[in-house]
Parts: sequence; C-alpha cells; structure tokens
Amino acid sequence: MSARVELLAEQFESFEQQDHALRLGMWTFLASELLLFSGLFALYAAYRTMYGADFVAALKHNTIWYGTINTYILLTSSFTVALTVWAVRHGRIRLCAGLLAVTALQGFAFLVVKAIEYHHHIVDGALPGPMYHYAALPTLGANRFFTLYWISTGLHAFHVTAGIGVLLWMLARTLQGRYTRERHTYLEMGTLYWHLVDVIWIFLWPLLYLG
Amino acid sequence: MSMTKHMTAAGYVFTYVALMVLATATLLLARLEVPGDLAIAMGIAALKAGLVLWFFMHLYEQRFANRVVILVSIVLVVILVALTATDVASRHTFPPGVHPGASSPGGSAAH
Repeated sequence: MSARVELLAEQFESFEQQDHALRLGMWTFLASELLLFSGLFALYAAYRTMYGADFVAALKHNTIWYGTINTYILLTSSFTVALTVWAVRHGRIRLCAGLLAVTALQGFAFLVVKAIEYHHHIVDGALPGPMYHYAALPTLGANRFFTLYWISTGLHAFHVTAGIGVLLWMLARTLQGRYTRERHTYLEMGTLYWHLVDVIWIFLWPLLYLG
Repeated sequence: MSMTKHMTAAGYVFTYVALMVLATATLLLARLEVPGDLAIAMGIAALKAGLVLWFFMHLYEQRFANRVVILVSIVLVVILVALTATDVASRHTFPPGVHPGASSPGGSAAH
C-alpha cells in the first residue's frame, strides 16, 4: 500500500470521526495560542490605562505605513491560503500548490517589512526594557510601549516564521499528491494556523500603529 | 463526508473585499484623528477577526462543538483584558506620568 494514502487511525471508526477529533484538537490549540497573546493584550490595556498620553506619543513614532502594508499583506495571504482549501476541494491540486507558494512568499514579504521597521527602531534606540535610549521620548510610558511592541511583534513574527514553515511543509505534501479532493483535512488544519497569525495582527495593527 | 455546507469561491472573494474595505476604513479613521478612534478601530478589528474566523477558517461549515472552543476563549480574553484595565484604572496606586529619565527605567518610583 502506498504511504501517500491517508489511513484511518485505528482508534477511530470513521474518517468523519477522525476529522472531528482533528478539528477539535486544532481549535483547542488555536485557543491556547490566543490565550498566550491575550496576556500581552491585557498588559497593553493596563499600561495604556496607566500611561495614556505617553503611549499615544510613543505609538505615533511608529511608521503607520509599515504596519499598514503588513496588514494588507497578511489579509491577502489569508485570502490566498483560504483559497487553497477551495482549490483542493475542486481537485485543482496544482492551483492549491501555487496558492500555498504565493502565501509563503507573502509571509516572507511581511518579515522583510518587519525587519526594515525593526532596523529603524534599533537605530533610534527604541528598544525594549533597560536597553531603551530613545532621546525623543524619554518617558517610562514610551519605554513600556516599546517593550510591549517588541514582545508582541516579536512573538507574532515568530508565529509568522513558524507559519511559513507549515505552509512550505504543506506545499511539499501537496506536490507529493497527499491531499486529494476527498481527503485534505490536514491541509485545512494547516491553513487555520496561518489565519490565526492574521487574526492576531488584525488587533496588533490598530494598537501599535493607529490608536 | 457528511458535510454539506461549503464555502463558495464568491464567498471567499466577498470576505476578502470586506476585509480590505474595513482595513482601509480603519486607516482613514486613524488619519482623520476622529475622537474615540481606538474604540472604533478595535470594533472594526473584532468584525474583521469575525469574518476571518467564520468564513476563511470555515467555522461557518462546522458543527457547534468545534465553534464553542474559540467562542469560550474569546469570552475569556475579553474578561481578562477588561478586568486588568479596570483594576489598574480604579486602584490609584500607580501614579501616571512618572518621569524617571529615559535611560534608567529600572530605578523608577513606579515600581
């Protein structure tokens, strides 16, 4: 028997049951990821309450276009990765592979923009914690803001990097013919991870660049 | 496969267009510096996240057992963030606007 055919694990009675368990497990994992980020959102809410004016002054320092370009990149990548599921459901495996590659490229583009932005922050001295020495904003509130900025965007960028890995792994499996019109639940679960990265950024964008 | 509801190509495109329009609206709102724009921006962000979850992440197609996990965690996140902020806002033990100097945040009176 070919190793490429997805088998029914022995603990399940049907593929339907196996898929349900897989989905429930994946959503539980995504919920735990959400709670990981929510600690940072709570810290943001607390520090913004404490240092409102300093926070706004600090976030005005962030270049709105870097955040905005990355927002449009991630929304578009979420669209292309959602379409991979549509493609595989219609048996269009090559289109699915192409969309996965395009999505991964957008992930790289996001990281490039982020790296350019980080470079500006490093040059300015807008660094986290005790490394902070940005002369234009010598406030504790600004220091708190940039500490949170680095931790949240850093954790997010780590997830983007992991997401690119997942996309490339799924691309390889797509090219091996492991996903078919009938069996592609693992592909669907992989795309959920990429969407989570998008959802987190949807909230980070207004909090770190706009508000 | 027992699933009957499937997202259509038009559904994905519509969701994408809605997300781009909402993102642009958020940007314009911030550029215009409308009062209360952060609250509006967070409301729009919640709507965008909802669109991604419901359509792109196919919760639309799922049974309730798969939807409830993320719904519960969203409720918990809202409680965590709201109570953390109200706790800080109502304590008056953290004087805002303390100015310890840019290079020595560790030695501040706010600690």
